[in-house]
Amino acid sequence: MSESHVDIDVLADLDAGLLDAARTEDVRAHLVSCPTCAEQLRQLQDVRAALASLRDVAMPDDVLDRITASLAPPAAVIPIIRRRHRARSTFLVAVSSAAAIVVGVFLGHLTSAPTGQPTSTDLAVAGSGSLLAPVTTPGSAVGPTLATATAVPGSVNAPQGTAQPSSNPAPVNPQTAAMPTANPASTSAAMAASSGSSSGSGRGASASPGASLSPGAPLTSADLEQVAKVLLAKPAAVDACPAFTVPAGSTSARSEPLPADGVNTSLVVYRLGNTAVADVVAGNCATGPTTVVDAVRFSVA
Amino acid sequence: MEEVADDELLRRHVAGDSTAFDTLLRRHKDRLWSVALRTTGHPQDAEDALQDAMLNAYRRAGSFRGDAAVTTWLHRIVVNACIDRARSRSARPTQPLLDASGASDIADRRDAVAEREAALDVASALSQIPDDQRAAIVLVDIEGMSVDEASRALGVPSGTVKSRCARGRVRLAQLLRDDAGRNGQAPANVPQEGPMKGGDGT
Repeated sequence: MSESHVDIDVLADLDAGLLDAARTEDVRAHLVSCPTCAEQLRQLQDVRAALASLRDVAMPDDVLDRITASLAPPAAVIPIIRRRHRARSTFLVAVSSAAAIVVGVFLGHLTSAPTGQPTSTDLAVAGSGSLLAPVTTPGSAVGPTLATATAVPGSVNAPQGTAQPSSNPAPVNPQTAAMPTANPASTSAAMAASSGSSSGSGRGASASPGASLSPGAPLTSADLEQVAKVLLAKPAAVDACPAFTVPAGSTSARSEPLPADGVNTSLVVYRLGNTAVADVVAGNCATGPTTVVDAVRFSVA
Repeated sequence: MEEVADDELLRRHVAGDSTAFDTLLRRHKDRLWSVALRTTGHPQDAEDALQDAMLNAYRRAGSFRGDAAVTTWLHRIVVNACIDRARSRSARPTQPLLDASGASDIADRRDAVAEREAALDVASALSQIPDDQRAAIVLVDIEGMSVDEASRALGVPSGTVKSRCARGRVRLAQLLRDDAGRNGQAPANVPQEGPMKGGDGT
């Protein structure tokens, strides 16, 4: 050991504390008598010292601005289900939990076509940004945007690989309404799309939070899942719509009134096995009759 | 007014406090930026990675379990975002930290710090070592994390962190020596015929 030099990788291991006691002793004994190797070790320690002397680099203000803007509630207004409905109104729904978590559930306009043809209801849900930390209060500033977004059927992008618009008035088919469980890949893709986080000149163009609810932005399946989870996490209580009977076998039923425009509507969330169902119920929730006018279903663990 | 702890800010964010996450971000922005800048080696990549990471943290805050410091959790997300970005990036060569946002700060500091040249060389040499090694070195040697913290942040065993740091330091020492040699400034007392050998195996 004392005749030949110690490999620098071994010296680095020594410096990093990776050698066992016996080997450490051997190498240290060699270092005492070998200036070359001692210098090698010193160089490695100099590298560490130089690295430690590097101080934090201040984040440029424009970078901070763009990152902050990207954290605004994502532009996420999309149709989940379209079903015929006779009412004519714009619903703007905000469901507040006791924990101050605001779930933005936006019911698109319900347009009555003069020809008597079936019209559609767009059920759209705000992105999870508003689930986790509402930067804006869904209110009048959002309404017009939403109305514009949904005024032209088909003008709003469908979610990526998720539910397809359905004009079928029959009870919601789980196959068409089902939302896949959260998928990290698709979620991040949607996030990137909604936040403009991919590199390019369009970056950082986010407007104020209030204006971020623009048409055409995708909604992640994770967002929908969270809507159900937030509501299902609350104590079960079908107190907002007692006249609506949830299907046999369902659990964790919970209903919330939807402050609708002239129409008595509630959102009822319940579980059927591994499926969470959110039914939009119209009618007189105190006395009945009630009708499910929209629904979304998605699997839960 | 007493400063609210990081984990409390995260809890408030999850509970719907719309300012909590922003406070958290602003508190640690320079450190996170430095980590991203040095791990990616490029300001644009750093920004993209950091934006991905902060969105991720913003949305997944509820999954923070409190078994590590919030800063460790954030570092982990940032480093992983940087590594993801590096992997998905095409074969574009990494550029030294000499342009845009990182440059002026480093340059400013160079005037003030005695080891001006050394500091700059280390910063640029850092961009030339393998990603895994760089990530470990950024956390341990630059950010001053303990090996255990870095282990949690990187999601690899402590021994792997040490090993990556050791290999990275060897590589950096070689790069700095080569650089000095190119400039005809043989560093004092540095043996030019030592037992150095390539050591970037991970």
